[in-house]
Amino acid sequence: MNMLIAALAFLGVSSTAAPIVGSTAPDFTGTTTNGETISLSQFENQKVILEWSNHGCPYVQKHYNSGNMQSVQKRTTAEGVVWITIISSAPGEQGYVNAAEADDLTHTRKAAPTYVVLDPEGDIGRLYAAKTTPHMFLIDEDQTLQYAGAIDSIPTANVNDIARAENFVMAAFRSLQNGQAVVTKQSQPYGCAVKYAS
Amino acid sequence: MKSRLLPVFLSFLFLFSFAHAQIGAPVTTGNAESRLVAEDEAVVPGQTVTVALMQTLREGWHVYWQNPGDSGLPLTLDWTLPEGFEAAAPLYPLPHRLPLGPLVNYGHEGEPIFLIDIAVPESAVPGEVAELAVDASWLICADVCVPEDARLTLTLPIAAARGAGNGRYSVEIDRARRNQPRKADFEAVYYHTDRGPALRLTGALEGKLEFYPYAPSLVEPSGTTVERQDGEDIYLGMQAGFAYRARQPESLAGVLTVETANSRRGYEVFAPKIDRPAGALDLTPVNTNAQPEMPGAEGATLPLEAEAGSPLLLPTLLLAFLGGIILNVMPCVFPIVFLKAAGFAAVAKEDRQVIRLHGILYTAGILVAFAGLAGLLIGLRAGGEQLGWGFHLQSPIAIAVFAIVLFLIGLNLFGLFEVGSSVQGVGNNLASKGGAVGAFFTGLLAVAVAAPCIGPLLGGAVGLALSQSALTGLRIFLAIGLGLAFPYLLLSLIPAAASILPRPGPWMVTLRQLFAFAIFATVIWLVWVLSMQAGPSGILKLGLAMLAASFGAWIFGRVQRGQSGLIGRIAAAAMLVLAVIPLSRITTAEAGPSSLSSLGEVETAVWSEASLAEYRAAGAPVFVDFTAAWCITCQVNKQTVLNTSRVKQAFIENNVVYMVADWTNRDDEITAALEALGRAGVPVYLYYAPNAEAPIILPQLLSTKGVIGVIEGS
Repeated sequence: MNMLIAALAFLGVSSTAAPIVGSTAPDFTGTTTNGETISLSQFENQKVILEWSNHGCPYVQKHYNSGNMQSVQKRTTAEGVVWITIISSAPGEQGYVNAAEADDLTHTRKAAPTYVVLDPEGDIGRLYAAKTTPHMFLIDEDQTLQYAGAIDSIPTANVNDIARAENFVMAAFRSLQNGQAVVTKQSQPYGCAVKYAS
Repeated sequence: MKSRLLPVFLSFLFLFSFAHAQIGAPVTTGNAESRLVAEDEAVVPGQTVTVALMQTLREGWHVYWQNPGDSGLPLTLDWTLPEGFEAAAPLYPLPHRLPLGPLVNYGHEGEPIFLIDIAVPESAVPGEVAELAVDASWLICADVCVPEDARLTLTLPIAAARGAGNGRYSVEIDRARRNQPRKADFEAVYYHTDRGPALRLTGALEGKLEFYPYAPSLVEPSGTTVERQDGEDIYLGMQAGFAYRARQPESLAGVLTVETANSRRGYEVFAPKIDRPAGALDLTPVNTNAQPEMPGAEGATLPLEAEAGSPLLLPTLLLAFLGGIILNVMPCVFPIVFLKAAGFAAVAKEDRQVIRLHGILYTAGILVAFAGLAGLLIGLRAGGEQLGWGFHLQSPIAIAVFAIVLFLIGLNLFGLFEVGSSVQGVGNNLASKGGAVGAFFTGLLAVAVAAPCIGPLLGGAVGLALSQSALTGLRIFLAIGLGLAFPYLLLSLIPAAASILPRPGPWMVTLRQLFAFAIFATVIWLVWVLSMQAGPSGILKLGLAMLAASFGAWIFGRVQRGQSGLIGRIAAAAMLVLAVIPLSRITTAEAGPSSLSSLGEVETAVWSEASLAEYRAAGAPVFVDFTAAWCITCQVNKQTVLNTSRVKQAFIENNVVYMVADWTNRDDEITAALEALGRAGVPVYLYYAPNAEAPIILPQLLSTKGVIGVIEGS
């Protein structure tokens, strides 16, 4: 009978309907490493940045080992952004962590996300069609998706390229802060594929 | 003389010393071995030399095409060349679709060869050497990704004229060049649809088509490509990526691969944008206008087809009989077998005549049930109803009633109450009569619950039964019934066999109680089936009915033991009536069952004739799973074979679409399709190879090896 009940677990059918920049960002509910349940909709009137992460991925390491990601986190959260790091790695896959391990990573990497949400089923990842780690989303006060894509313009694993690259997330954030339209609204994300549950 | 010989001598020396100079030293990185090789033995001033970056990738790992798809990165090359030399952008081998979970990448496995044309300046001096070096970096991934880089070098002599000899790798380089996308010999245009760009290709194109745009994000790599043909025109409807939505390009450029059984070719496509052509076909993924047809219906080979045409009914009847015997050990009949065994244990101490009577009555119960079911089924179908085998389990109320009955049987086995007083075996007339009635009803129950589990051999037999005249159909059903009853009939009729039965004793009580757990396992199954059919509110109603029924049974037990009088009898009867109320209110849930219909990351689709035709038209291999929640054989196959990582891997590697036809609730379209296949029940597994005329029908009990073998075409 266990077998039958196990069949219930295989629910998710993959969907690739990506959210569209300029329209309302899909609402989601997730559990943070504190065990808190948060929803995107509760952050109305605040800017929200979503960051898909996998600490084992060399492209995530590029931006964390250099301090680039932490710097973007600190500069944006200082101006009121809610930063949600989302980990969609399935159990057994690269980057999968439990709450304590995730908090430990935040601590050791001196990262400054507002929340780290664990998404081992990949529901939030599929909802946003998150493809790579990192994959970044910027959502404005009206819950409109303003930017989706790569963290910056040079898709390599080389730390030395960060200085030369245009940081699309910071650029989009600056434009919004200055009341201007975002210039690069969407870019091809680069990095490791998100390690979704099979 | 000497002065004229010297250059000749020198060039000989030169050729010797550089005989293998066109091969650079291989560099091994974590998951790949890379080297530079040149097509020619020397470079000639003013000409172009083709250099190849050859890689041998670790098994199971891949690198990326120039448009890597959903994730990944293409090769980057940073050349250090002598003054005046110029390297062109690398030419990639033909890409492959590499699915990873819900994502799809475009890339290369095995031994990709990237070709780079290097222009040699006029100023290059013959007799000198050209040192070529490149800092290559690439991303190589299996389930994890590793960025790798290597500095590759190659030293080539500069000669006044091209030598006659070919380089050591000229064969590989030549093949790589021939495998480069060639000029299209067909016309290509594209137009905008709501879903994204649609290509129209005009010309002779045969085989499986895949389009790989050069630029990323124009087309969603994991989106469905709808392929339709209209005379000379082939339409490929694709799902837009964000770059396309932001701005539709002037022309859609990319590589079209055409794959047949023995070749795979690529064509360069530069499709200019046009207005939507007048005769353009509908390219939405599920096309309700498609002609419903069961493409495999005629070509399918059925195990019993020979018998169907044969005037000899006997082999079919024999097969049905054997199938009936096998039914005894099928997963869903097993608890009922237990129940019957309990019945035997109960009468074991009685005389042989009673045992014989019970055996015959049990058989009679089974035959009556089979005759009744067959009569009902044949009658209803004659009246035009679309029903199949196991249809009685498609009604949630029937499922709930079975669950309640089995639940009460379980309680009875635990001793909460008794039916008659037979099981206590007091040995009087009444007792044997009660036992006899019990034996008959056990037979009926065995058939009702066994029905969905029509196992191997029987699918065909029942299909045949339903397609034949009513009389033949009835005979086949009865043969199955006889087979089901046979082991017990044998046991009861042959005295020697009956004497094997153990002596009665206190162990019987323990055995009875253990059997109760098998019964409860069956109840769990039925509850699960009901949850598929009627949703949470159905489960609530069943739970309330169970509560009332068990309460009634408890009071009834007290009455039997003299602990309660007339009021108790009335109360027990009232509780049983009360149990009927919620049962009668169970309705089929609006939302269809969903938990059955996924194999993790395998591309899964809900079956319909139209969408099957759609996928087949697109040249995709399709595996169809006709299943139902109440069919245990289906669930066993799913859990032990289909849902294993090896099978899923095979599905993914071969881009097989997994289509689920869920027959848990009544579905006339599925019934009709099963009928066209000559089947009357589930499971049925079909595999449509790309562009195959007819599906391969897999056995009803699947094996991992068998499924993978069929998919990989061996």
